Amino acid sequence: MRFPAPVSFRAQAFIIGAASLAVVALAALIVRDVVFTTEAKLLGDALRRCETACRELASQVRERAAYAGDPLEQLPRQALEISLKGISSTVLQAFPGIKGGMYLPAEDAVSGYAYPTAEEEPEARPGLSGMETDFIRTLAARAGAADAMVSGSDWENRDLIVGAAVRSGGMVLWTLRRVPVLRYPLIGTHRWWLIALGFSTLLGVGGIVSIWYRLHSGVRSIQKGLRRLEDDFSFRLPSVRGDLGRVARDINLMAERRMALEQKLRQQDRLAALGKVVSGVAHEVRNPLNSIKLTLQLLERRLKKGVAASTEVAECLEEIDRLDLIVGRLLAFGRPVMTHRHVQDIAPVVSQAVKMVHEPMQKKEVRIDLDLPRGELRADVDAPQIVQVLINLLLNAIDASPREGVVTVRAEAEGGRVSIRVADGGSRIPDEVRPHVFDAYYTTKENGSGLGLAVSREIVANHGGSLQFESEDPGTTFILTLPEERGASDAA
Amino acid sequence: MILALGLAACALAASAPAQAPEIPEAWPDGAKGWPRPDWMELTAKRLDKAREARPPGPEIALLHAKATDLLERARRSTDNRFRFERLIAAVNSLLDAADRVAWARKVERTPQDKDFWGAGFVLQGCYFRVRQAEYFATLTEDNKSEQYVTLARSLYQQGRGAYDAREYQRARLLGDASSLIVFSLECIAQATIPDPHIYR
Repeated sequence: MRFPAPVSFRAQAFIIGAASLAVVALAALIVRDVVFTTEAKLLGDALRRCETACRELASQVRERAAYAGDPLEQLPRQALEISLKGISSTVLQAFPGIKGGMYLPAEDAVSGYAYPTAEEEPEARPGLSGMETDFIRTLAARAGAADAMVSGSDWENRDLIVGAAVRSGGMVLWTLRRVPVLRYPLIGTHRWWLIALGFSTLLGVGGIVSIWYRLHSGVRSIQKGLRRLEDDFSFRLPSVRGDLGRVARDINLMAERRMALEQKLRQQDRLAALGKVVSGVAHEVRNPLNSIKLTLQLLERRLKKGVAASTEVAECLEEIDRLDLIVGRLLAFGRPVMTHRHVQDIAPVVSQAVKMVHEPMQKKEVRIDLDLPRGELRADVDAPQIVQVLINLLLNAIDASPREGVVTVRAEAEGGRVSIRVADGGSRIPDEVRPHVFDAYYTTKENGSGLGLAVSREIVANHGGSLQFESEDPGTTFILTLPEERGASDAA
Repeated sequence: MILALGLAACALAASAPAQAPEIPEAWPDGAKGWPRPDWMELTAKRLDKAREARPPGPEIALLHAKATDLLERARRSTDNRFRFERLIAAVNSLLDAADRVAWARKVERTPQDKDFWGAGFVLQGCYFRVRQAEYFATLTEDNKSEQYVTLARSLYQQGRGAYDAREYQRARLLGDASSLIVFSLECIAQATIPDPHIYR
């Protein structure tokens, strides 16, 4: 059987604190129960001993009366006390700690004799406190009324008085004993232990609360730091003492290593990109150069024969123009794009782009279905740059579409952003090509430069938008997403 | 004339000497019947009769000797009614004890089946009474009071022996004798009270 574990530090601290308090409370209850049970047992034992002593006292008085013609209560007080002292000296010595004597109701006189312990010197006439005398009177009255042995108990300060009484002729014989109550000596002798227990309990609960607070605040600090680290990888968690501090240091160390790793990867990517650029440029430049070389060789031969060579010169100039175009594109890709954005209706931008691809569209007999929403669809864009992006996407779509195919362009607003979807009916992009779709100088076309999509994504990123694609069989859809207003992307 | 007679009577009453309180004619009638005002003579007669009737034995001889001493003390204490009464009670108790001892001598010493519990209770009470004797002995002004204690203890021991031998009647008589000696000692101790202020 598994119990659900408490998830928060607060719950855990609460459970531990409650458990600690429960343990202390349980221990206190057990001690209290033990003390009270022991007290009750002592009380019962004392009561039984008092009754036995009283019974024995009465028995001895009867025994004496059997051999004497004088009823005790008819003797003078001094003589009576001699007799009773003799009797009690034998009886009460067998009951240490019990006081005993007689009560004469006619005179309301109480006499007491006690032998606290068998070892100690007998105390001939112990003093009776006022409370004890009252208690004896009460017992004597009850014994006189009941005509039988009675017993009872009463409190005096922190002692419990228990006693028994029985009527014997015209007097009442009584015994009593003081039972020290355990709880008060226990509290007295263990006061410092009890204070220490209370103090340690408070300390324990305080410690638990402190641990909970420090854990809670430390974890919250780390959580906040981790969230900030997601946005800003240069951020480092604040130093915290203790175990959580080690966790924070480890996270910071991990961030440092990851940063270093990313820098290394970026450098490697840059080098790889440079390699691609170099190979692309070499490939792009080599073809016109070969063409120029061949044309110049032909021109040389014709000039030797004295034949006019204006055609070859024109071809060379054309190839040089092509070289210039390639270098221009390369420069355009390398330099940072300056945007002149403002919030505007996006429909004219899309329409302009569609117009620009009219010729290749007709050449391949491809139809473009334009789906623009009613009303204005506004976005914060640099219109010529977005037109360039859309032209790239439309040209790719036309190239990918079969003859007499359909390219769908649909614009819509969703979640504070404007999305423009350009979908073709061509074949699915192969899996091995997908990771390189946006790589510069990566192309699958015979005459492609491999810069169209790379430049387009750069432009879109500068607008705070994104350029993604979905490719299924049939067709691929490029999704251009732009913020409706400047800063919307930041807010999102 | 009437007035003159009245004044004369008052003058006579005022000049008459204060009389001592009279000794009551009879003591309170206890369970065993206390001596009458002539108890001095009666007790002396009883002692003489006992001396003549009882066969001499060490315990009885000691009891008679002690009774004689106490009777003499009583004779000297007629001015103190309480002391006098206590001493006579002690004498009579000693004579009762001597009677029990003499009776115990005569009892047939054969094991018995009856009175097992009764004799047992008597001896149990006797045990405590003998222990009380030690206390009472300390209060008497008799420097030979230990003899009472020794005799009471001895009779108790004899009673115990008889009880163990299943001679229950003899055990009861010896136990009674022991308790009576202790009572006598108790009376002697009470007789030392110089001036009992209350007497009921």
